[in-house]
Amino acid sequence: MQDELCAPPTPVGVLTARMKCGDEGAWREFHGRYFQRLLSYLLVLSRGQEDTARDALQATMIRAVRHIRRFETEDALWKWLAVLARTAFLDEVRRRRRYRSMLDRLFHRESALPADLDPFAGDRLMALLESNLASLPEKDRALLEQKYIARESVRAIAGVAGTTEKAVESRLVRLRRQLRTLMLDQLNKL
Amino acid sequence: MNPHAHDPLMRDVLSEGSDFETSSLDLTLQEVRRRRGRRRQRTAILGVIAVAILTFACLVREPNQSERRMAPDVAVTSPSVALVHTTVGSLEIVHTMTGDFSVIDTPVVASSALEIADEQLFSLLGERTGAIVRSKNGRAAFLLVDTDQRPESRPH
Repeated sequence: MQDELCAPPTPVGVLTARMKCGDEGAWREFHGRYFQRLLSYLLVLSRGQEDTARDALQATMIRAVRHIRRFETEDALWKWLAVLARTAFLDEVRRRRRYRSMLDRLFHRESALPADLDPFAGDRLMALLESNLASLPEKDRALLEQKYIARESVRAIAGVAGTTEKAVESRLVRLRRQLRTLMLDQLNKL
Repeated sequence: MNPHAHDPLMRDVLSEGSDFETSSLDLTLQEVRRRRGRRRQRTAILGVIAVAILTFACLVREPNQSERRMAPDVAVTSPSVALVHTTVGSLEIVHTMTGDFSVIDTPVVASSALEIADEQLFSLLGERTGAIVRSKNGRAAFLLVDTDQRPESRPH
């Protein structure tokens, strides 16, 4: 107890304390840090259903604003967020199911709830990204790695490749869309 | 959270072709502002209630012992002084009482005294007879005839 009282505040402790006070800067920082992780988690839970994942994500953020409290560790904060995301997702599924129940009965289709609610299920999306990245042609993979791993600018990549920046941007957009489609399809088949 | 090498790519892949992240941040900040406004409102209401309760309590409660006005201290005590009472025309002409008496210095309360003119003083007497006697040194004395002590028939 004495050790806890004397322990210096952790970065997560400071961030969550500021969030509790309604500090907008802290909420921006939190959103920047957790948006992608929560979306990945919810995409896995929803098996690639983007609309469901997005609505559940926004509901999670609103619940976080309403119920935020101080957390001292990253792990504790993430587990709490995962619980909020899971309940928001289940509420969203139930809400959508009411509208789709007639169609489900018509096609004898089951709108099953996800069996796996592991808080680290979102890591699977990263695994899918890596496997899909590995399956791309060498030239495309090299372009993505230059941009996202080596952090080279589009101008530098275009200069080396002897092409225009616009052409490089177009290739990057096409590759990102291709990866996205592959990942969401794979999630849907899980 | 351990940053992954592919985090930037994942971010761009997930946000490709939409501004969902921006709109999500806007909605989140709106909720933060709404909550903050509600909290301020609640604090203000509690403050008003507290002031109202304090005001009400101050109005209805009786003054306690420490707030009661204390009697002034005795300023002078003179021993062995006689008080002489003389009744004009009665059997008892002189009545003398011996003993201590105290001179009590009372504070001047401005609102408890009202200065009035001589005519107003006489109008207060009604049927009784009185007079103001002024001496050369500026002093004045008010004399009042006590009709109860006046003899009904004085023997000549």
